[in-house]
Amino acid sequence: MAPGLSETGVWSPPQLEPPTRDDCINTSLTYGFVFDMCGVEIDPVTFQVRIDRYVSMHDAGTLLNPLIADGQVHGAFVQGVAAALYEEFIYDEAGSFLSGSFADYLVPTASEIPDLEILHQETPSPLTPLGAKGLAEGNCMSTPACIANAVADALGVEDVEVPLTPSRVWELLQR
Amino acid sequence: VKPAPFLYRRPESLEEALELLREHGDEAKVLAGGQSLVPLLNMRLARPAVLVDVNGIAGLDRVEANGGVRVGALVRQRQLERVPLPLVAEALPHVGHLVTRNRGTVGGSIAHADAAAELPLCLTVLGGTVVVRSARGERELPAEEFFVSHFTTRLAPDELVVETVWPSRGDGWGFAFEELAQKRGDFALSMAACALRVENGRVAEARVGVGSVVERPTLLETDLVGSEPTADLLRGAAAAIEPFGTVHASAAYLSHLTGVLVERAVLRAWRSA
Repeated sequence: MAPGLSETGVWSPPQLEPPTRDDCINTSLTYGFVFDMCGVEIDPVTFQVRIDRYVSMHDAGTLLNPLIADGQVHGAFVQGVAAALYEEFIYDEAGSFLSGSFADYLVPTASEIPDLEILHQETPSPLTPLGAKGLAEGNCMSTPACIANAVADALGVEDVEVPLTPSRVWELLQR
Repeated sequence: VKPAPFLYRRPESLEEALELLREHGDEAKVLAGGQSLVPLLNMRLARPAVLVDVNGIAGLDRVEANGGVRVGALVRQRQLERVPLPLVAEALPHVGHLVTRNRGTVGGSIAHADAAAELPLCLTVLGGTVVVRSARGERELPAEEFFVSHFTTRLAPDELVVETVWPSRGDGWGFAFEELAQKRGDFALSMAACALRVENGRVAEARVGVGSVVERPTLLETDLVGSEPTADLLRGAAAAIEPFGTVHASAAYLSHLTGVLVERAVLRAWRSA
């Protein structure tokens, strides 16, 4: 019979402190680095955006588990593509939420997601015992900006608003 | 969310089903594949008092070639993919996803009459008919009359769709279906379908329809007969359609897109004729 004993330990990194008086906060114990490059094409007739090639490079220091690292990057990339091209909280003038079901809130599926090329640069952190840095949701931030910049470059416009739906791209070109 | 309470009936025969519809009328909803009805029930957008499940009725799942192809109402959309029907074969891959087509029925899609559904547009463009039956008798309605508006048909509360009839077209006919959806299997932003017959290098008959951007499958008036289709001619015909904007696309974009899809469908049908 197994002994009925258990123990729970809790540790908080001392670096993670509450926000300062001027509202600054260190939200993470470690920080990774990411850069993205992509090439897009815009259909000149239907104005759909197609991602031809997407490369994402990460420096998460020493990779402890490369398979999990790539999985994290893939997941965040899909969320980034979703924000760039599909998903939107839509409200009408009276404040009614118009995209409150999956019939209207367009979550991309495997069919919509292009191939992703992942590269890793391993620069061990001098500040952590194993040399590891952060890696998780970087592409949620980098991917919408990267796709939006590529579309803006292709169209020769300064400002674009995501998601870049066919209708929105068409309207950008009518101005 | 779960559905509001309802009474569930699973008749074993057509007569029994028609009797239930006669008894409950407006209060009843027919359950076939459930791919549209069940989400509506779960969101409580539909709150029928009685659900009449027709899946147990024998004989409604037959496909017969007899003066056109007669498709029983319970034939699954996936089964229809294996029936050599022009236009329909091109449209079906756009109908939801493979798993929803395994459940979704042809009759259900026709009776549901979603303005963004592919099968009602195909049936209208092919000049097909809908066979409906009630305890009072049977009648056959042309698709052009059957579809009234979004989710509204000429079906009376005690009537059941039992069959759709898809006319066969002989030599000289060409067909094409075009749609654009933001996501694979999603509701199309716009769609167009064309069936046309070519004789001596000229269009002899043309049926061009659009869906999604209109309240029901709508045939366009074109000047195609006696001519060779040109982009200008087709854009002009499509301009008669005034799409309503949606949360995903402005009316102006949908108007542009509909013109593009009409042009593509007609030119491709022309080349395949």
